[in-house]
Amino acid sequence: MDILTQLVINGIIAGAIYTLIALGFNLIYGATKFFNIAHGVFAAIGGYTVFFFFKLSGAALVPSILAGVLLAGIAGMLSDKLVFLPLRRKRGSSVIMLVASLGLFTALQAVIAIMFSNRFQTLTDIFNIQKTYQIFSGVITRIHIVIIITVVSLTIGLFLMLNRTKFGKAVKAISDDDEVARIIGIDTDRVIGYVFFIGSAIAGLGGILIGFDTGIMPTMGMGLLLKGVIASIVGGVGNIYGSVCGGLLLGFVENFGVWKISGEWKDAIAFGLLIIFLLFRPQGVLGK
Amino acid sequence: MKKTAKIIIGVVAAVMVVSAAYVHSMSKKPVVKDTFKIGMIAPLTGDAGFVGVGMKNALLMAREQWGDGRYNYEFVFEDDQLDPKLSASAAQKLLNVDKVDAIVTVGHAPRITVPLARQHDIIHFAIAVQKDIPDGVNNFTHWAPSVKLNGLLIKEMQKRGIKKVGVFRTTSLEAWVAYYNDFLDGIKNTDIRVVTDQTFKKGEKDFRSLIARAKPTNPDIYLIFVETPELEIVAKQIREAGINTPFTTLEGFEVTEQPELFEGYWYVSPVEPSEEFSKAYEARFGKRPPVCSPNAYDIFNLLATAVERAGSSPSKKPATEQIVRELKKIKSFPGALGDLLVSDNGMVMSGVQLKMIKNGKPVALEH
Amino acid sequence: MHDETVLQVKNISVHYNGVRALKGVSVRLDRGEIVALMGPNGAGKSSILKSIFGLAPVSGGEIIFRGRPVPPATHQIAALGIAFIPQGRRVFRHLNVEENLEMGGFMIHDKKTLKRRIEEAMDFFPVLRRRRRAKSGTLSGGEQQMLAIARGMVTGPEVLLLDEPSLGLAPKVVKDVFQKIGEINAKLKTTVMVVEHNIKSVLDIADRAYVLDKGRIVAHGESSAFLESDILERVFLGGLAVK
Repeated sequence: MDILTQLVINGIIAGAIYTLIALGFNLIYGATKFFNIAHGVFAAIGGYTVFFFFKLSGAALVPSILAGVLLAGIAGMLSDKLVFLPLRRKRGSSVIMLVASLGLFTALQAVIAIMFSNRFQTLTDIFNIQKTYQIFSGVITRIHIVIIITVVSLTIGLFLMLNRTKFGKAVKAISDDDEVARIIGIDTDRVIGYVFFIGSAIAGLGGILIGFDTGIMPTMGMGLLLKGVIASIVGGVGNIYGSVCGGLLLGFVENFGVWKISGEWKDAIAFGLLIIFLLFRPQGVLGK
Repeated sequence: MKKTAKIIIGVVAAVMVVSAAYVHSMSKKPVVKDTFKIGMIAPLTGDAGFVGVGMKNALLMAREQWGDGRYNYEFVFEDDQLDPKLSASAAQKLLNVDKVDAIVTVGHAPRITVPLARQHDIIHFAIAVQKDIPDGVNNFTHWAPSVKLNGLLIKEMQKRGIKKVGVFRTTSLEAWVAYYNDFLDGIKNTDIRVVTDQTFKKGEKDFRSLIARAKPTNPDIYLIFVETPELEIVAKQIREAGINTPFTTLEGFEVTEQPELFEGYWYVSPVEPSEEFSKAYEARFGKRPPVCSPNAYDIFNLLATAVERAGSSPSKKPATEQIVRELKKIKSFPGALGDLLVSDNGMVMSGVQLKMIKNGKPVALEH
Repeated sequence: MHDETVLQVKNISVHYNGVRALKGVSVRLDRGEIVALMGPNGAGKSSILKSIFGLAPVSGGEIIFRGRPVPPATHQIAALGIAFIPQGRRVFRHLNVEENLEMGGFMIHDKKTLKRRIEEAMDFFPVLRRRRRAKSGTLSGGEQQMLAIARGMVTGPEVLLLDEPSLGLAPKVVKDVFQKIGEINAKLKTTVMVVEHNIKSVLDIADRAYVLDKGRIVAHGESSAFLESDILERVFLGGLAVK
């Protein structure tokens, strides 16, 4: 293994994982203009749904994954309907929305812990050492290839949705000007509900794939969310393509950073990158 | 004269009656035993609840077996759920409200209780590995000492001809830092060297770049100093990087839920509790004794032994200083964790052993 | 002659955080006419248009369109046949001109009809045809105003409400905008209500006008009457007693 090649591969893998979380986060932020902290727990909901159906109940893999994605999406949609929409109607500020999302995150995380305990769990009976493939002089595992393909597919899918469908253009219109979108006849509450479904389902899928790689815990959401938020801000918050850009940049900076510095500095490197962007290019690499 | 004599006789008779009554009452009064209060701070609920419950059960069983001693022994159990904030409030309650004479701790509570024990001049027994906790004055520890664990680890490495060690360790937990520092001290005068030292914070999930850094150093063995789940994730990712080098650790393989990752690998851990203790615990509570319970059992027996030896009157328990003096005289004590010795600096030295994961289960090896 | 009332605002009051913006205001819009709403800053003009579209907190009164109360949800009002061009142009900056017009026809489900309407809108505003692929954020102020109006026209609304269409525009462009509004009314028979500061421009095209001051109607009548009287001068400079 050539270390440089492996670091590039590792950067892409890490970047793909962060992008998975950032995609849904940015989609929701674009439409609602607030940082939805609860986004992290939807990743955990996806992972635990698969754990329940596939590992505990013995259901087949694909239906379990579909159930995980669906449940995460529904949870997200319900969170909008029951919590965020009423606050939007009362013209709640972004701060109030953020606090509400933090409360929701904490509550749902606690529910998961009560149902499944705080223990680390794997999604398969044995903690599968993945089949690996050689790429140039580096190695990559099967699950990572799946993650990368998923991210590419989701990005293309979101691009097509936002630019080629009426729904997608409505999302872009709401993102630009929610009030005018309503004036021209778009039921923005309904559209935002669907956005929450899609964004949270993507988070759920992320939680499932990451769960197959490194296992699940009720607290997995916050760590993933923080990296997803950094990727979003670095790439351009509210910009779907910014998710990819920011995710990859973060993945590379972290992995190349720990090449030269100790692994304990990983979080410091990530947040250092965030601060640099906030100070010097707050709109991110690609802007809004 | 007659009158005076009558008065004198009457007074003498009264005094004699009163004296007789007093002597009679004194001879019938039972001896009042003083009570030695022992507090415990451990997780009794939550995921780590099994540890605290095990300790509690072991203390109760030890007291039952102790039977009727010179003093009464009372317990006060506090649940800290492994939360340092709760540990602190529990310690304050035990000291200021319950006025305990000794405290047994585990988890975060030892670090919090150390200065309080000194301040209140009580005895504190921590089930902990950190070398700076015991002072031999108020604070004691009962866990297989890091020096002993590492000693056996290094010996085994030398026996197997291991010279290059690759280390993956967390710096987030004191115990692992203590283990590593003692490992480094231990290899100073050997030909074993650390060829790569990869550190990370607890909670890390992606070790791939650290592994890429470590791989070119080509160690003979990887020493992994972290517990679940990072232990399993590191091992898995090392294998996925195409590295087949064996792993070892202190204790960690003992409680892994993915033993297949460590099949065939040796490691060092504290000795198993004695069969006698395990059988008695199982008969009493219906399950095998969990980790820390034999330590708690031994702690009660050491304390009670020292208290009984130090005290001169059942109605007045001995002072802390006297108890500590007796504790430190104990150089051979049959405990649940083998033959125990209390060192002058407050460490209870118990045994360590070599183990291996065989067919998914830890088994003892001959060293 | 315009004698059928299509839109009626009856005795509405609007309060923003306890501050009164409108009190007991009534205006009407008859079929085919252009009505101007005028008054100094803070008079409540825009609040009338916003209240029609459910964008202002209305307390009391009612708003009737074609004999029926308008629904409270903003997104349901466009389907009735009322288009609102809010103040400040407010095009969708990240969509191009054509996409903005598509958004204007959000409620048109038939693609052919939508395409036709978009082409008709671009016929009406040729400058938009030339810039159809340009991101609307890159258009000039006047072009954006044209786009905002065209977007509102895609559904072929019966009533067009405009809030300060000349705001921030150069005089030549203002003239073009008002010319277009006049054409929309004359050629497409669209009934128009326009809030405007530019008195001369709006009275040139309006049939009737209302004057507001401090949340109340202080004058209303034929626009020619306002051109000949000093009412506006008195309202803008010193206030006028409530009628």
